[in-house]
Amino acid sequence: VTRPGAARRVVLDTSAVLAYAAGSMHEPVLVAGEDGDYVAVPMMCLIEAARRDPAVDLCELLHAGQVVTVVPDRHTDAGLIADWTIFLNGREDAAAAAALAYRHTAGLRTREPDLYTVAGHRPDWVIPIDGAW
Amino acid sequence: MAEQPEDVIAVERERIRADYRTQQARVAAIPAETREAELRTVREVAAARRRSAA
Repeated sequence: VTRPGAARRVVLDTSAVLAYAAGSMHEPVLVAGEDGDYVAVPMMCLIEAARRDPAVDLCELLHAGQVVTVVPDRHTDAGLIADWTIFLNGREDAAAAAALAYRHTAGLRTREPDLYTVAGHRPDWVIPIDGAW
Repeated sequence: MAEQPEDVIAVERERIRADYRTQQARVAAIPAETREAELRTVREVAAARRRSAA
């Protein structure tokens, strides 16, 4: 993922995509745009969001200029995503988000923060949508 | 004088901006060693599960 001039990144997982569609994530995405950050959404999270809620409207999210959709590079990220998928008990969508956050030293916004617990500790790069740390 | 709705919205937006920037700064400050250690744990758990499933 590249976007000239963007020094920082934010990743949205499936739960964050659904939260955005429900209207509760607009401000942080707007601020990301103001700050020149880009908001990366794995394609697998978009698919999972649509699977969970077939009526979900993703148009507004996908038309925001700071939002980029990401398809994993199967040459470099396949092993990383496979490991995360096994670790997360088959949640390939969450694995794609975690791998993306890891690759780009980004924060991951989610409504399922405990899903990403590693060794009994929620990583600091996992940011609950309600803002609590 | 009562606070106007526009003022409330502006205050809330400023709070969200401040929260966002604090969170981004905290993420940026995570040592690379911490992320690497977390990933090592993920890979070790995945490898153990693969072995047990084999």
